[in-house]
Amino acid sequence: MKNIVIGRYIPGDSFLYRMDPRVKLIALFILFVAVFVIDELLVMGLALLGILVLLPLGKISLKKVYFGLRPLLFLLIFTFVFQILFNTQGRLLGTLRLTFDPLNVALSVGIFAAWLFLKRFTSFTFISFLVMVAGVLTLLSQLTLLASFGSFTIAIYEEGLLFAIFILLRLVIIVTLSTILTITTKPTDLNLGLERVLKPLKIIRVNTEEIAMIIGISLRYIPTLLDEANKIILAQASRGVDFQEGKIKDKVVQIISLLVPMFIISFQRSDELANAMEARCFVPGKPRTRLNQLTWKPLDTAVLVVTLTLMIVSIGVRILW
Amino acid sequence: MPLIELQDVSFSYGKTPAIDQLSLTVEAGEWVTIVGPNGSGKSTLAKLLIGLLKTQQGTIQVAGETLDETTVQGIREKIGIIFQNPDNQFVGVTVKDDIAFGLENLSVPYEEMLKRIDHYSKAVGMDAYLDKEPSQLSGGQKQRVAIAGTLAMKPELIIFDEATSMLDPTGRQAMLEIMHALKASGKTILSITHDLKEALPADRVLVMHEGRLLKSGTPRDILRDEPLLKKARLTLLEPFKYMNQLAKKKQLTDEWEALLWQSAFTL
Repeated sequence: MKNIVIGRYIPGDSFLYRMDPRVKLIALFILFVAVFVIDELLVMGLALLGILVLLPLGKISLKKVYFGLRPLLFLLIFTFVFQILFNTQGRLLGTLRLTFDPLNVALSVGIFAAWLFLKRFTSFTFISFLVMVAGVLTLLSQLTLLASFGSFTIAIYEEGLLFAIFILLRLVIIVTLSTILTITTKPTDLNLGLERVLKPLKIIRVNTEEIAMIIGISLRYIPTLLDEANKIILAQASRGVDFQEGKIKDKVVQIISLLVPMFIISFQRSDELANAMEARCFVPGKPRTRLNQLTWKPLDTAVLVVTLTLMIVSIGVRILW
Repeated sequence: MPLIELQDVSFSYGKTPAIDQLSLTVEAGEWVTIVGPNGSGKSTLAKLLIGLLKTQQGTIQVAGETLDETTVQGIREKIGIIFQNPDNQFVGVTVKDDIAFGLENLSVPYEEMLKRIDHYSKAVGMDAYLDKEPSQLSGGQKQRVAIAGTLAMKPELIIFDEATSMLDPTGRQAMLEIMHALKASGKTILSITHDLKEALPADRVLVMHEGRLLKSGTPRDILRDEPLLKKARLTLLEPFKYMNQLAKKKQLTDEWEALLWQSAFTL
């Protein structure tokens, strides 16, 4: 459990890594605005192209971005399919008539079950999923040997398809941008940047320094607590608790045998930590100087100028197009 | 004027008193070791001194100032404390951040902070580890970082509250060497322990039992006092056992005594 990585930070060196975390956060926000302002598929395509150019410049491989997108893949697909199925405006592009009879339904269920079983043996879960869906659709549309007991027609309209692609591109761009941020910024720097960016909230009495302190301590103690959890798992295992197997009822007992000591230890820890912090003259809310200084570089100004220009351009395009 | 002066201080968590009408003084520049078994009130005493707990009776004076709510911050700047568990006092994400934590709290300017981090990390031999995270350090290294963090705040008194009890022998030895260096540089040391070996290098040893002070004296007096240590549920170190046996037979020469005394340090 040593050297555990929190977040998705991957060490590297490029201008994306050297940027001030404050600028990264502000630039991300500006680009989000720009992406939401865009309402033309062509412009959105250009934005995606821009990101595809940015990635090699910032020395970030597509694979790393894919890992960022992966948890959201099914959400993206769902949005895409939903748009295609239910948006019925524009020219009709084509239809797919699905008929259901006992044989092809049974075969479809069989293919789905086979995919469920086989997916653990392949690392291409997503691609195999697409193949499985295509197989089922072909079966249902082409093979009708027995008497059918129902049918469903999928109609794809031009506007529906274009809008579905548009939404998909927008989501992919947003997720990719955030992934770039988390890949290139250490959690502690991100925390520091957030603290500074949100400083104006002091006016409405939000103590950003305190929030940042809380996040900072959490980041500091996650590896320690994971270590502790590991020790407890080993200690309980040596007393006969089997964390690997068992029914749901047994799982509950296993988790309780881990959680109760974890809770007690965490509270003891936080008590001792609070003492140590107070002993070193920490007073919540009191002004402090900071060791971690952020320096504004010419690069940061350039990035801000570029992103602001992009935002203005996208607003201009929307108004004038 | 003594640096620390306690007068009839009492404190209890429930019904049984943890500190019972305790009076003691610590002079500036002195190395005082407080020994006592678990539950004798020695850790409570440390928490009272830095104002983490409030006295229920009696007064505590630090450098002439009476400890209360208005003076507690000022007094905490004068007293540094190293706690027992190395993990639970490491606030920063890296060694550098942790040494800086106290300095940030004292609003020390940035350049001065860098200077002090550099100086005190060298003083405890952790200057090569400034960017390391706590999970990459041993317990002894973490304790040394804690000492650097405390020293950087330039306290007059440093309390070691069982600070070596969770360390391996090498870590413990390194800590003792740092304590010697501190003593030599004129700092006042208050070491709280149940390990009698840590009483050997002290100027004065206080024996605590059930919240009271049993005896105060030089290590030479205390460490040979078998009935006293028995009452405080502490076991005599081997060399002092031999010393007492020789003395009983009237065979304890100065030479033997010096030799046995020396051997106690190598335990």
